[in-house]
Amino acid sequence: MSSIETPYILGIAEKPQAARRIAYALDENNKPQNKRLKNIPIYICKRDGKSIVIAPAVGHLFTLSSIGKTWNYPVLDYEWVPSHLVYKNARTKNFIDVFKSLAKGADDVIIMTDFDREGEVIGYLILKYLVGKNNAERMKFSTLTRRDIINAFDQREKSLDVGFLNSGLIRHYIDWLYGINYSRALSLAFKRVSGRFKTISIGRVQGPTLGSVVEHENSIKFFVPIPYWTIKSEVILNKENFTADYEEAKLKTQKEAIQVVKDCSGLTGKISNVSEEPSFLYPFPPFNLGNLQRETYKHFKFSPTKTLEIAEKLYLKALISYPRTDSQKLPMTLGHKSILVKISKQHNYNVFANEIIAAKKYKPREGKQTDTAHPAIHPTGKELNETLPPDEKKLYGLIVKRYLSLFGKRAEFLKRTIQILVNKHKYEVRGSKILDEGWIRYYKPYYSVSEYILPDVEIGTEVIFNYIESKEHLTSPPRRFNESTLLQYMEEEKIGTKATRAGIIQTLFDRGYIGGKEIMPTPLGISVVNVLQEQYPILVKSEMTRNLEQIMEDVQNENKDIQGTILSIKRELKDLLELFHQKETEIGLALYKNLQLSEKSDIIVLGECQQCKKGELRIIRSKKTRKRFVACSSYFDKAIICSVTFPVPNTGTIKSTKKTCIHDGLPIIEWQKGRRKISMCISPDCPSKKEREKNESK
Amino acid sequence: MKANKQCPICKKDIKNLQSQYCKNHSKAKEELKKGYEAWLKAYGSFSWDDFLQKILDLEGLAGDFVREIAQHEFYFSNE
Repeated sequence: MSSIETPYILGIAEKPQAARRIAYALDENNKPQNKRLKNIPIYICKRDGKSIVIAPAVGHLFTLSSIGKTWNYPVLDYEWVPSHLVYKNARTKNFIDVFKSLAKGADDVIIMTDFDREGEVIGYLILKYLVGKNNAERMKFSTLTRRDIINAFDQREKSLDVGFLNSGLIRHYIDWLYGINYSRALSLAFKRVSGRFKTISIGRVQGPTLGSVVEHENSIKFFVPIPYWTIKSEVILNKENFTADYEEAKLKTQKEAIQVVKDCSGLTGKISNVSEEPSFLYPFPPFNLGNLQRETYKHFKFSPTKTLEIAEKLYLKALISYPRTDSQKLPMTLGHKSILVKISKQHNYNVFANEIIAAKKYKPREGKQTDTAHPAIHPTGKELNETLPPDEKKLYGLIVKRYLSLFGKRAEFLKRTIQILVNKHKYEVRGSKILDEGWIRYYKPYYSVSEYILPDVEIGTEVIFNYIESKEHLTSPPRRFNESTLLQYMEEEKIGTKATRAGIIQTLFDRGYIGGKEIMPTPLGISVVNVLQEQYPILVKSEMTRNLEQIMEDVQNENKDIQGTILSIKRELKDLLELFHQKETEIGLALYKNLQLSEKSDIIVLGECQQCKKGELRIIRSKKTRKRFVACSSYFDKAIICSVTFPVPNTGTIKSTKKTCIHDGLPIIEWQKGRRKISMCISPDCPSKKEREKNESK
Repeated sequence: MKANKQCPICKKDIKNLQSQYCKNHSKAKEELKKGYEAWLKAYGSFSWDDFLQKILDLEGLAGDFVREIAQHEFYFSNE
């Protein structure tokens, strides 16, 4: 440390890449001195005659941990401890040592973490536990561009954002209190009845999310399709065929449908009206995180977690603004003209950017949602100095195109409807002509429209029908959630926050509660929800978490004091856990029975055993080792004792496909873990496996 | 000790002793009955057995609980 001249201002950044960008922007010569302490990069820059040493964290360096070692509940006392002391894999110790060491030579501190709740908490905990201070100056920025960083430095606040800090802290306390207590309570309830330990975890936000997935699945399981009829017809207009829609889209009875066809068959129709009306389509609002995650799922099938990860990489490369935002606002102070001029130098977008610049229309279209900390996600216009990896390139392209579209003119169409009357029944032929594509040109291929041009016809003209027929249909069950629609549902139900929703979905996948691209709850997920719904519904309903969100928002807006709030939450939780404790045996028993049933339903029969030709091959789980394998049911038949076995993956779900392998005739199973789904032969030596491994390694 | 009454379809304990099935299959039966009313209205006439058969044929459309109860009603019910 002796080589760093003291005193200096210590800058606390959230990540190494952010520290580097901030240092390069702040150094007067754009050449900060780069050093490594304990293999952590630190940057020394000069500005306004002062020396600033910028060191990075790597997200959270501290985590909450219970005071006391007993594995029981309620646990209401906690403390912040270095993450590496709790999580073996946390590589945070060196970062902590670097901050401790740098704190000694610092006469001032500036928090340079991302400006949001988590950024405030990360900075505050380093400040409190490693620097020994309670407050510091705060830089607030939404992009890592030079311009924004220098502005943030020049206009830095004198202190941390108390609203964000308290809201961030209380979120950590509440999530920890609910997560640890209920996970312990459920696991202990199960142990009390079964005698064996099984981690059954649940959280404040996971519970209602899982509850919603199970409830949705139930609405599919209880679905009874109902018949309805439509009338299909085709008419000839100016020698061309056009589909005509009957006045009622759906008919509820077969009798009505038959009657319509009977009334109209063999008759010619007469054009009774032709109407035209202009219609307009305005650009979609700027991206906030939720909108972006849905759009990337739609076009690229990126999971919400993946989208956030890629967006963060683009942010750290200073190519886009901070992605964890709810805002659909793009204030003029962002300097849109300057961003557009920069984008016009990127060859993929120069034509449209120049078109906007030429039109001198620099006010983008905005949406309704706001965020106090950051604007909507937008490109910074920074030059692409490197070739982006394919996924980053896709996301960047989508964000730039969406941004450009916001400056485009509205799209204009002319809608034409031709009404045809046949024996008192009305039919309509509908068409649409594009007058001006407007903003859609800038946003292609992510949105496009097609024309359906109708000919000029006169009222009173006779029209021949090629056919009129009725078609029977059945109503369909609700569609299962995918990650994008589940995220949207969580947003609508106000479950979780923009920053946490994608992670919650991922946790449910990781814990084996849900699976599949079309998300289905697993037997374990269903069992946990069924038991809680009957015995302790508060944990799977969204009311509790919504109320807690409101409390946290009140703390952020400084309408509630954090200490008093946390005390009352602890009291309430203690009462709720007391209630749980009284029902512990009942809950444990219900969990045990449900899990037993779901484990029983786990016994999968794959087909006849080829070796003994008598037993059947089944997937079973060893009671001793809990390992899963395929074995012949004749193993227990003393006359046969067929000992054939095959290994199968120990985790994930396995289904029988009822198909056999072309190579060895053994059953093919479908294995799924998280989003990964593979059909495979049960034999480890099957040539098909070697083929697949070869393909995968390519 | 007296054994609990079990659902003939899924073997889960029946909490409401007045009921013939567990909670899920009782609800599925209610939905099935409501569905039958709608089918009857839609076609003018439709026998209960034909309806059950139709539901059993509609794998992927009719829900699992509904198909399970339809199967049980079709083969085992005396109603």
